Amino acid sequence: MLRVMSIFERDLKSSIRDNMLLYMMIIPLLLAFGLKLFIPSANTLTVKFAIDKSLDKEVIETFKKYGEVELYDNKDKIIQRVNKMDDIAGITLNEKGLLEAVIEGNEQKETPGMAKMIIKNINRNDKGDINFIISNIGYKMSPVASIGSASLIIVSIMLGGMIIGFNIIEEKENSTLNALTVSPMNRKEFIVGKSIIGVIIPIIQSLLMLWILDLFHVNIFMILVLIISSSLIAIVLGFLIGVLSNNQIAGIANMKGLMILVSASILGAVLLDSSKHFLLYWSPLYWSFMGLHGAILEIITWSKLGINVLGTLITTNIIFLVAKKKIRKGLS
Amino acid sequence: MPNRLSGLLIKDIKTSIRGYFLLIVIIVALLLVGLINFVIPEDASVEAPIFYHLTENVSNKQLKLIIKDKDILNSKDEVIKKMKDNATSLGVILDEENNKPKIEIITQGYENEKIINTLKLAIKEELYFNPDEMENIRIIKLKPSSNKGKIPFNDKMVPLMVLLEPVLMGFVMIAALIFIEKEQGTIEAYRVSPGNLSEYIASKVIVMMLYGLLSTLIITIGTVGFSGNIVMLLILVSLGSIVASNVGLIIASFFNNISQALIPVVLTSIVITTPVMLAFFAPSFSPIYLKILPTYPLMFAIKEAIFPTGNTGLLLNTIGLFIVFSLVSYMITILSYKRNMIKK
Repeated sequence: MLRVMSIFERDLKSSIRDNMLLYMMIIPLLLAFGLKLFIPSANTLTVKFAIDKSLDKEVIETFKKYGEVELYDNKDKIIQRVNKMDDIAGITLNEKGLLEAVIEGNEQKETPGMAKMIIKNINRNDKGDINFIISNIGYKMSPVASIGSASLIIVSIMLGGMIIGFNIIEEKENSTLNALTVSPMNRKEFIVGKSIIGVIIPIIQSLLMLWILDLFHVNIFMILVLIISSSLIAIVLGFLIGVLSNNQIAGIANMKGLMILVSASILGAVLLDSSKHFLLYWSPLYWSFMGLHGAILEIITWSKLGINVLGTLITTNIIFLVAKKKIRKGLS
Repeated sequence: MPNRLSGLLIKDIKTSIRGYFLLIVIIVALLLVGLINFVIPEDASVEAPIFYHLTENVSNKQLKLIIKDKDILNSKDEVIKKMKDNATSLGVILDEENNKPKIEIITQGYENEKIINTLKLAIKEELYFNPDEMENIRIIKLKPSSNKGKIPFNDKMVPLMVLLEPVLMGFVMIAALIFIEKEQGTIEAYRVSPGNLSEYIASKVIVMMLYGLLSTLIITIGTVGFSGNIVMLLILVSLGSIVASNVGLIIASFFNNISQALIPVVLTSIVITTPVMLAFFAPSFSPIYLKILPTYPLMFAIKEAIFPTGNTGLLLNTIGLFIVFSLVSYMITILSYKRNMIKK
């Protein structure tokens, strides 16, 4: 145990000396602040309209009910605006005094579709008689906030793994790894000692991030269980990067390859229909992300969380078994 | 000078190949090709799904027409259950009261009023659809050649992948290349040679650019083939890569080793790419802080080069902008290395 702690202490001291720990702690927290500032603008995301100032006030107000409105002096300025990169529909009057929409032609279908629907509704005499009732299922957190927060925790967990990997590469380059192999320390102690930093840092960081994002009301125990189980895959990947890479270039390149698989797991979980999620069952990060997302949205039960943790552990174990030989060889 | 630069270039290419860099660039590009072609579905969508339920009270034919070709669930509870599984979904319960449509819109709870108004309008549109009314509304297309055909969802990801991998490759990798040389003492040796710092940096930046171009060719040819404007795409990737490598070098110049520089470099890349990714999926999202990110126009220009809509102005403006960025960032890089590394 003493030897394990001395490895951890050594890594910690080296990280503090390099200011690495400081960056590792502060930068993800800054990202959390950034996300907090970013969420409101992403939540108000709607279709945009560039409208001729001279149009009837009532028409302008109608468009404001459905999207973000920017006012322009004349048609030329509207065309200039529409030609810019983002999607926006210009609204102006034609020579007959009828409302018309101006688009670039490469917008997503919602932009021209909405413009057409609103104009049609304005032109229509019979506005229809429908009794609308609005209710909700009580989720106050937008997908940008929930997905962003869960992804940040995953980033924090993966950073822990990255640091382990680069510490090992550094040890290899400085030949201290060889020195350690002739010391009384055995391989298990070395691995456990090296791994501690990859578990402790994400836990502290995630708690601080949840606090920054005003998410301290979520079930912290669930989050902790998920972080600890997910840290295992970060540690395995960290060791893999470390033993597979002979130098830092190779380390970064290997890290990039692994990060593609990590990003693919998160993107797939977000973009794919739930019926196609089986395509991602191989990835531990898919299970972690789903668990964290559910815990942040407070929609996950302990039994469902158990499935996610189990999924993470089983897939991590499979990856570890495949990589075990490589890691053992790389450390000896 | 050209001889010295070519000498440095050959050395840097050899160093990077020895570090398995070429192999990894090819493997990562092929992984992305595989991801686009075989993992990301052709028909996925980022649109919010809507779950419907039609109550037994409904006799209105028009109301029944709304649910044509849509997935109808058996009860409101089932709608809510499905909604809980999908955080972007909405629910609609179609009912009738006193021969009048009564429609309940169930939201998640975070949606703003504009989204609810839009949904109300869309339902109204379906209830009172009249093709003649639609015909009377004129839509002027400024670029009529746009939207010629529907691009499959997986192919739509190609511009994003090109931005994230070949363009931003140098951002992280160049720092590693510099630190390796620093540790090996190559920089010290170079200081006493007739070579100057500008050539030393230019050589690294060019190596990253060459790998970026190789990766671009593998990704685009492996997914969308030779469609689009390859020449423009390669120019954009080259300029983007130069700027990314220079910025990576500037950040790295503040640190002593790769372990220290890695986290700030990786996290800067997250900051400059995440909002752009959101704008990629929702192009009407364009707050001011997003517009000042150089990756924002670059992403749209890459998209235009791969899937041309005739917006040559966008391509030329972005190229012009990135020529300026390249020169400015190159000069800042030289200054920061003069100050931070060579001084030591």
